[in-house]
Amino acid sequence: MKAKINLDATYVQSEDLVSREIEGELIIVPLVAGMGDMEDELFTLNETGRAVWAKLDGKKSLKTVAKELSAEFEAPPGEIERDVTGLAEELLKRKMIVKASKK
Amino acid sequence: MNKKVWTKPKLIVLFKGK
Repeated sequence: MKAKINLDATYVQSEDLVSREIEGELIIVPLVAGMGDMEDELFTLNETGRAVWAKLDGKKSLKTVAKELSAEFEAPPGEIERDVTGLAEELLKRKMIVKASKK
Repeated sequence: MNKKVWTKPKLIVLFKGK
């Protein structure tokens, strides 16, 4: 089942994990069970995934994140927004990001 | 500014198992 993502909403990295850059690679370590499929897992992200992850700060909407990435990366129109949504769906499903509460 | 080529962002399982 896909997690429902709202492009106008802001998302933030969960407090139930830690992420560190180790030797140029981002390592994401869940602190609670249930982020992986059945077993405990450690994660990493590819280059564009890291770029998305770094912008999930709870202040920018996903639409803004996609727009900022469009200034940094070359892609056909709409592709970055679609891909950002796809990654956010997976991260939300695994509870690795949460919807930021409105201040 | 030269833009980098966009590739599909992926979450990769690095280590599986307890």
